[in-house]
Amino acid sequence: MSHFLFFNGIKSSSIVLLSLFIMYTFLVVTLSNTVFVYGHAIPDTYSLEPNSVIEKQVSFPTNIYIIFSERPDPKISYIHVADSAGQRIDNDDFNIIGQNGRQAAVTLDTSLIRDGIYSISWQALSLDDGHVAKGTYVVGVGDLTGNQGLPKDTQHEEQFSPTLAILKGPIIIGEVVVLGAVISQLYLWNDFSRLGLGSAIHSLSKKRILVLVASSSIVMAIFSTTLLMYQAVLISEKESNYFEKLSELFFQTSNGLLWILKLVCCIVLLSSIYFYNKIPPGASKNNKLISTNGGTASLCISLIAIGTFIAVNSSTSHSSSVEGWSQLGIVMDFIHTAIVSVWIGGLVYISYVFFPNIYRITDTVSEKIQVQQKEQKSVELITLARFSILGTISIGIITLTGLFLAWLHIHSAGELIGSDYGKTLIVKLSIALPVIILGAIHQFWITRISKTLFVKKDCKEIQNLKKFNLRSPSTLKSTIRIEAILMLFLLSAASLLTVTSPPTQDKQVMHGAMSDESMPTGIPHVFFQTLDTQGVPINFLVAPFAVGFNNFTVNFLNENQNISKIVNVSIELKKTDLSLSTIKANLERHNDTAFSAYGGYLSQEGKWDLKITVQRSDSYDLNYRLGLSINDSADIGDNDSIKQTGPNKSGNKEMISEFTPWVILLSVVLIVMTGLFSISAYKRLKAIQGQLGLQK
Amino acid sequence: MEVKTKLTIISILVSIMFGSLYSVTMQNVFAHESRLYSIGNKDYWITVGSIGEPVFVDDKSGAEAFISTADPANPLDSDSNGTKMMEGLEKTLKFEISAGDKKKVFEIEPAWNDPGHYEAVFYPTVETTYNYRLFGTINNVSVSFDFQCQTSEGEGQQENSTKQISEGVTQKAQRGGFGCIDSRADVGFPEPYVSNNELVHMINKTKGNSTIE
Repeated sequence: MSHFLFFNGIKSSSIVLLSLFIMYTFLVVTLSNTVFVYGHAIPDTYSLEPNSVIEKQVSFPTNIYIIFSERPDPKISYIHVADSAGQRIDNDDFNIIGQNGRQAAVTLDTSLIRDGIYSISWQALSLDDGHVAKGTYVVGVGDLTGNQGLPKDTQHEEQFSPTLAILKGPIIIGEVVVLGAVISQLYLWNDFSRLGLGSAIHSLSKKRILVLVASSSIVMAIFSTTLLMYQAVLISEKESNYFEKLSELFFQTSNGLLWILKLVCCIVLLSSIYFYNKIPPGASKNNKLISTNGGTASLCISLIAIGTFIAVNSSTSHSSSVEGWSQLGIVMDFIHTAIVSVWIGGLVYISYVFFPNIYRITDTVSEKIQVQQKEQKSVELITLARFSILGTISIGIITLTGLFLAWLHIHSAGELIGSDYGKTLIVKLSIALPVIILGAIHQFWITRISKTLFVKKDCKEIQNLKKFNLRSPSTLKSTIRIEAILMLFLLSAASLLTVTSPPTQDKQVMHGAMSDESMPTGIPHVFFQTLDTQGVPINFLVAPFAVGFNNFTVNFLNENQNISKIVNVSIELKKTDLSLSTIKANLERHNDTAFSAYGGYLSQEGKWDLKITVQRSDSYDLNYRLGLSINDSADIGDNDSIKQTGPNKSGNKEMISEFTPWVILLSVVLIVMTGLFSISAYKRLKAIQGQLGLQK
Repeated sequence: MEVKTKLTIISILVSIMFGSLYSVTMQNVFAHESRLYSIGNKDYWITVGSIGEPVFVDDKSGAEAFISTADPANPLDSDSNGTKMMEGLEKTLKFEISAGDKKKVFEIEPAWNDPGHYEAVFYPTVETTYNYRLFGTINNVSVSFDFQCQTSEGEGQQENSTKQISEGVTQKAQRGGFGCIDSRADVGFPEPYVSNNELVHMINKTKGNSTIE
């Protein structure tokens, strides 16, 4: 009765509530007995992989499907495909296909497909666990140049490649050997040429010169060609488009022309050295080593060819890309390489051409020089004394130009110690130091040998030098060979330097974002900003800063002590109007300070919210937030932790090296020392020439 | 019984109903990381995540674990009828929560009326990556499992590969993941939210500046 009254009193509303209560009880019991899966319906397989680029519109599929890890609920789940303007090109017909219920698809309105990039947003409510997962990825079709961002292969993305270094090594060694051999052949025998022995010595050395120059030219040609082909491999995304990329590289970039130039140089070298070798002994009328009609002409042609080859290489060196200094940088790079070639190549020449022929050369000249000096030491001495002038001046110029190039590329001690370029340079200099010390020892020996040869027998000094004097020639040969081997290591380090990006180059790319006015035509717009949170500043770069495929780069400044503890760097991009789900990417580590990711991230015009998360092993994450506006210049978000350090203000300052005063001081010291040592070497040569009766 | 009393009773019932329903359904939409372990020749599903996801800085949250024995007939299916929730593990297990260079051990407590569900409540004060280490003994075998939140939300790993974790412990499968603690910066409205930790830093900074001046 009371129950009746209860229901009677509250009438129909109570019945509704009672029904709800029963439903609730049922639901609670059901849900309580469910063992939660705690997974998500997230994509397992895509019909179009994220960041894929389809070459032609006709190849674009008529539908997009995703296989999810769990069964998506078709009532809530969706796949939307929108172009860069945000216009949908799908037919809004999300449907479950396949038998397992995990594969979902939408069809596309193919009439709306144009060249450009498309954002594919998905949302999946899992029928298995009720969790909603969502995300966005981007694909491209057709030509993505212009405002749509550049495809990866045409971007100026320089990555360290040991293969490139291995391919460049033989080219560098080749040019060094050729230039050194040609210069030495032209210069070292002048004393004997004046005695009318030029033709005879020429015939003794030309075979080995031929071997050196011809083999080096062939190696240079082969490796220059392989380098071009390997560059095409680097920019090819798949095997099928290798020849297309090779063709682009050859015809649409300067690489093709430079390769042709190098090949022509190699052919000219081979031809000239062949003709030089074919000139019979004594062909020249005045019987000098190199007649103007034959040998000199051939060697001069070789000199021009190898000089052109080195110049072509210098035009594509790191120095050519230094803002404001490119012309001087190229010239300095050329001088540096050429003089290094004279020095190192000269040593190779002495080891490979001179020493093996020393007895025959001595025999040849023995009739012309004074009787008491009719021994190989005399020939050795005059040749090495002549070369030492070349070496002394070369080392001076090499050090000066090297200092300038280092000053151009490295602006702080942090860059020298912290960057790959700086480290490689330190290795190179570490090898150069013993080479220079050996050179100094050789100078010392030449002086000592000259004294033992030319002082009178009763002189007290000769007694002191006797022991040293007796073993000097063979020791000298050995140390020169050691020097030549060290030089090869030096050249290997140099080839590594050519494929390592200097720290200033990264900065320059960032400085390119300073303003539109400072940007040369044709260079894609880039976005650069220095962000700071928890006292850790980073340089953040987006290139190109346009709708399409972008390269996001995060650079940690060297002074940050926690760099080594960075575990992961990731970005999250959201359209501010929430028209797209979050786009996420993990950045790839390039070195201790640089991380980057490439892909279709800024896929639509408008405002974007960006979050950069840096996970560290022993510290809290660093979270940088900023707003980006893809139409206008970027604006800063409201986050108080973010502050902007204007590149315009700090940019010029950063380009000035902190080493400048030291470089100036060292340069002055070097010029003075080189001058003094050169004068000393010249006087020594004159003295030896005088003793041997070789003065004009 | 008067109508007023009846309505009061009904109101209470409805409140309880919606309250309970909310709490039960909320549990179901969480993202957690589940792993299948063989511990001392017995298979267990251990699911770990944060309480009340998505969690924002200064929210009441914590680490939670759902532990069940796997169905011997179908161990890879955590939803199989043969799975049984494990009770009483609060005596042998603990959570060590770490963030940055800070670590702290928390006792775990069984969740009310939810067998096999254990919680260690804490208030996350910083937006960062949190690591939950569940350690102690299960089935008389020493265990130590690290679960790390993911900054990339909703992208958990799905794998069935087997790997030895320690003596007597082998991981056989892994599903899903759980998100990290979010900042309230994006959701503070109408005025931007400043976390307690940020306030402390600001005050310390102000103090520092005052001292210098």
